[in-house]
Amino acid sequence: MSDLVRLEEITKYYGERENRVAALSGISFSIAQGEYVAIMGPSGSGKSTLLSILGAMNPPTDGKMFVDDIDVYKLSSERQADFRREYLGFIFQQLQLVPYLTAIENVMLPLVVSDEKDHETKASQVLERVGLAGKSHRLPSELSGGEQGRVAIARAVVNEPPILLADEPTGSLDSATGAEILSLFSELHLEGQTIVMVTHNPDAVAGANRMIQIKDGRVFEDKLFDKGPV
Amino acid sequence: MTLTTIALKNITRRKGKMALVVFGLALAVATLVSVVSLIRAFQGTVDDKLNEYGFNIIIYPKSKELLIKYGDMVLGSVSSYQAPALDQADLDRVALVGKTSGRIAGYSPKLLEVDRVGGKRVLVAGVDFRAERRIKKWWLVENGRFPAAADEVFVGQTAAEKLGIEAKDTISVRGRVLRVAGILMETGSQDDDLIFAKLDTVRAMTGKPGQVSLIEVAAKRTEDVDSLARSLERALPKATVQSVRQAVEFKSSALSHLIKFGLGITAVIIFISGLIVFTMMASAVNERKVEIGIFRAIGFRRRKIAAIILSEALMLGLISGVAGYALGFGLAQLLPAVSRGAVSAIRPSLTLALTGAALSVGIGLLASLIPAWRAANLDPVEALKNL
Repeated sequence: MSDLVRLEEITKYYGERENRVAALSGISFSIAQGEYVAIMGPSGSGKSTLLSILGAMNPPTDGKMFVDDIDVYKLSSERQADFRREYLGFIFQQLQLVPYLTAIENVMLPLVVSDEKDHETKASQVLERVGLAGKSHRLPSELSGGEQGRVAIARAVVNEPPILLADEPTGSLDSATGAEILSLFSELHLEGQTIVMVTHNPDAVAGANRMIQIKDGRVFEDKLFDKGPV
Repeated sequence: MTLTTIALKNITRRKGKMALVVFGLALAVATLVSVVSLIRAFQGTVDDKLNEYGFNIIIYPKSKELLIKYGDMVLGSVSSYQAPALDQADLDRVALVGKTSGRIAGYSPKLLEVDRVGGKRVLVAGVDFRAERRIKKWWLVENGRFPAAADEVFVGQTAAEKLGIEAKDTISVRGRVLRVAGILMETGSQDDDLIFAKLDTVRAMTGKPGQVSLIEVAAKRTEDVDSLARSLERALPKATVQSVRQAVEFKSSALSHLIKFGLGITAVIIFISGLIVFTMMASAVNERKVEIGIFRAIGFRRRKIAAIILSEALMLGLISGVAGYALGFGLAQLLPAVSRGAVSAIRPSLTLALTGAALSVGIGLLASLIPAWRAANLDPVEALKNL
C-alpha cells in the first residue's frame, strides 16, 4: 500500500510567547492508502488538533503535510477548500447535519461545489448504500441517532473522497447504534476506503487495522494490527 | 441543489428574523412610494387648482405713463382713466398663439369703463361671458342666473350691496337700461366690485367697436406660463404681457418644501432600514457559525459562502419590494379619501414599483455586505470548535 498521507515534524502552538502552549510536537507518520487508522488519546492530548491539521483547516506552526504528494499547507486558503472537496470527507462530532435540510439535501451539499451534474441521483444512490433509501426527505430531527449517523457518513462519501476523517462519530450514540455505525465504517474500509478516526471507543479501535496513541502532543504508540481489520 | 436552494431554505427556517428584515426593507420602500405618490398627487392637485384659479397672464396695451393697477387689474394711466386699447387683431393674434402652441386653456378679453350707476362711480367690464367663465371656474351665481341677452348684466357681490341691487332689478348705464340677470357669489377678488355686461354691449355704449382694455389668458399648465408669456410678447409688440408670478412661485415653493421634507423622511427611514437589515443578517451569521464551518470544511470557497448570504438578501429584498410598494400605495390612497377629494387620486406606477424594488434590493445587499464578508472569512476550525 502506497503512502497517501505523510506528516513530517508537525508542530502546533497556540497562544503567544510565555503563554504559548504546544498542542503537537514533532509529529511524524504516514498513512497508506486503504488504511483504517484509529487515533486515541486523553483529553488535551492534541488529537483534535491533529485531525484538524489532517483536515487541511489548521495550518501547523511547523512541519509539513503531504497528501497524494501535495504540500497541502503551501496551497492558498481557497485552494485548500478545493483540496478538501476533492480529497476529504468529514464526519464531525455531533454529526453536524444542517437542520433545515432534508437527509438527501444534506448528502447533496458537497455536490453543490463539485462537477457532478445529477445531484439527486448520486445522493439517492449513496443514501441507499447506507440503508436510508426510504427516508431521504426527512429532516434530521425526524431521524433516529443511528439514521443521522448514516446520513453524516453518506454526506462524507458522496464525492468519493480518498480519505474519510471522522471525529468521535459514535460519541453521542448508544452502544447498539454506535455498533451499527462502526459496522458501516468497516464495510467502507473493506471497499478500500482510507479512514482516519479520532475515538475513545474501544470498539472503533477493534474495527481499525492501526492505532496511533497521542499523548502530550506526541505519538505515544503507533500499532499496526497484523490480523487486519476485524 | 444550488446555493439558491440553501438560501431559500434558510429563509423559511428563520421566519421571525427574516420577517424583521422584510419589515425593515418594506418600511423604506413604503415610505418612498407613499412620499412620491403624495408629491405627485399634490402636484396634480395644485396644478388643477392653479389652473382653476383663472388667468396667469394678463395682456394690456403698452403705455409710457404710470399705470393704475389694483392687484393685477390695470385701470388706466395716472393722467386719466382713458386707457389705451387693444383691438380685434390683437385678439386674433392671441388665438393664433393658442392654436400653434397648444398651451392656452382659455382667454377672455375685457373692455373696462368707469361709469355711474345710482349716483355712484362703478367699473363696468364688458366681457365674453362664455370665455370669462372658462377661465374663472369659481364664478357662481348667488342670486338669479348668468346673462343671456345683450341688455343683461351680472353684478359683483360688493357692487350689488353698495348699489342696493338685486337680481331682476334694472339699472341705467350711459342712458341705457340694463336688467340684472344675476348676482355673482363673492369671490374675494376685484370681480366683486364690478358690473359685468356683454362685451359688444359695452363697446356700443362707449363707441369703441372692436376694442378691449385687456386680455386675461390662462395657460394649461403653470410650468408653461413663462414661455407662453414670451410667445405672446413676440406676437403682440404693442402690448405688455405680464405673467402672474405668485401662482407659479407658490407652487414651486410649496412643492420644494414638500419634496425636501419627503426626501428627508425617506432618507432617515432608509438609514434605519439598513441598520435593521445589517443587525439581523449579522445576528443570523453569528447563529450559523457551525453551519458555515461545515460548508467550509466540505469545500465551499469563501465566495460561495458570501453568495449564500447575499442570495438571501436578494430574495428578501425582492419580497420586501413588493410588500413595501403595496403598503406605500395603500397608505397613499388614504389621503384622497381623508381629504374628500381635495387631493387627486393616486394611480399605480410601474416605474415607482420597480424603483421601490431596486431600493429594497439595494439596501438589502448593501447592508448584508459586511455580514457576508464575515461569514466568508470565518475560521472553519473556530466555527466548528471541535474537529
